[in-house]
Amino acid sequence: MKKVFLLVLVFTALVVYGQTLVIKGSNTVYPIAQLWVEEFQKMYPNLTVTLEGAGSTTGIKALFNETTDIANSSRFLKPSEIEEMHKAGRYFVPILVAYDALSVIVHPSLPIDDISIETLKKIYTGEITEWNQVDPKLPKRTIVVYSRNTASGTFETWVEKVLHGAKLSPRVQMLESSQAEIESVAKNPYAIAYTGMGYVTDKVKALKVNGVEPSVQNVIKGTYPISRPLFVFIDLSRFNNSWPMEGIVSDYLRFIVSPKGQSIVRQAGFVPAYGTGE
Amino acid sequence: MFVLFTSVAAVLVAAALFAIVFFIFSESLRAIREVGWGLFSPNWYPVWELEPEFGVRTMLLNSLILTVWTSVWVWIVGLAVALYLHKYARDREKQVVLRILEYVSGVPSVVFGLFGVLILGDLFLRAGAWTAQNFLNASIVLTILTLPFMTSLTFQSIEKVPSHIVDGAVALGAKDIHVLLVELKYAAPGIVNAMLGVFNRIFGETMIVLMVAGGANVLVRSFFDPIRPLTATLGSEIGEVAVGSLHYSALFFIALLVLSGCLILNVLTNVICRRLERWVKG
Repeated sequence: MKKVFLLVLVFTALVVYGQTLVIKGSNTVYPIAQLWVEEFQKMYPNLTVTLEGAGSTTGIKALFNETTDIANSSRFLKPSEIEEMHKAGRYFVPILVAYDALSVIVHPSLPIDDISIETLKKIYTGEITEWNQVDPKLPKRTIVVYSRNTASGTFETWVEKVLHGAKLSPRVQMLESSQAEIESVAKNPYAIAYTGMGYVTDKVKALKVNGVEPSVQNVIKGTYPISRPLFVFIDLSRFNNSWPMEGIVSDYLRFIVSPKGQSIVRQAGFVPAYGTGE
Repeated sequence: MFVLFTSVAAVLVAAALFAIVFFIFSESLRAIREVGWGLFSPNWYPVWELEPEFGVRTMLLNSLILTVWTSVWVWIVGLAVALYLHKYARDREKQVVLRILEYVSGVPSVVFGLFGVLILGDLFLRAGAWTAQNFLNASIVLTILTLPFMTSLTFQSIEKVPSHIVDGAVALGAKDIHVLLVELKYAAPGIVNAMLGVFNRIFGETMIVLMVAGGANVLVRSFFDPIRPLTATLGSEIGEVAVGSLHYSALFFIALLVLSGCLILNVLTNVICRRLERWVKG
């Protein structure tokens, strides 16, 4: 009986004194946020975190409705959102936390090192189906085209940055994970795929895109074409229009841009925006 | 007390099934209303902002072709193995084979899927196929998955044929092959039940087709073409779709198709088996 009572007491104390942090938004940022939250909760055991990854738009909507503390977003605010924000007298600020950069991978034995965005677009829309159409020196073999499934953020980036909204050829094979892509390309000498830069291993060859090598430096410099920044938004109007220096939101932000938080970004397969201390 | 308990359980199960069907139907209503016959167009482009397309025709046809082709093989091979076990195998042989089938039928489908991806896929590439994940790969893995089911059910129904039927046939001077036919006729309801069960299992199987069928939405023209059956699309996309969107509703339409396919098949199995039983008993 005593034990039960004690448990109830501890539980109530947790509910009353425990802090909560609500994070909503991008599906792309979700896997990073998951790791962040896991690590962050080790430092703040009393903290309850709610994490949702339904999409960037949902996250920003939640900021407007004040139903979230933090909004993850794989894009910047749309003009309509900025206008709405001004009208409401709100002030959403972005914190750049990572880059989503995609590598184009092929089998190491394929004699190609560089590919252009236009060629990639032609391959993925089905305009080109054989390797010798890419370069006459390449063998006359069917290009085996792999893509991530439509549910992934990687896929969204690809459609935006390479296909410019065009439709994928139905012949493109959808795979469920980045690992599956790497495995498939490593085994098939005529395959091509794209994957988050952090996932690339020695078993495959990452191509230059428009002559630019897919390296962390080139992504940060902004010269590598298939990349986009990932943001975390907070609403400053909830902190009297000044930067929060204490409280759980402030601690969380400090953590995610810290070397530890940024090495988690790399661990999740993305490109860190700041130093990881490595 | 026991009667009360069991009847409550029965009502609950029936209610749950009805609720599932109703839920899936109501969630797919939006797609049916907004997309209409477009749902049966060939292309599936659910997440494009400009002109999204929600056509399931290619996937539906691929599902059916894969299921029919694989089922026929499973039926033939399963029946052959069961007949061999019943007619020619020695006791020890029978025991060993049945035990192996039992173990194989306990293996989760994801393990078979892995086998298809890692081992069969490699073999396919070595044999000159252009892609490792394809129609034939899925078909072979599905065969391995459902063969034990077909074999053991068929075997059991043949074994269950009463000895006086066989004795009667022999007494009338029937040759071996005719005795076998008599046995098969008597076991027909059980065998047909197994056959339709196999069909149903393959049609609804998700994990394996997701892993080894290839995921390309083209109508299959050769054994080495990658395909994407209905269940694979459902399994792949339902986890990340925005709840309440048109895409979400279209996925529920796919679920509705798969579910109604399985339900119709179940009802059909019942009807056919009952008819057969009447025919067998004369």
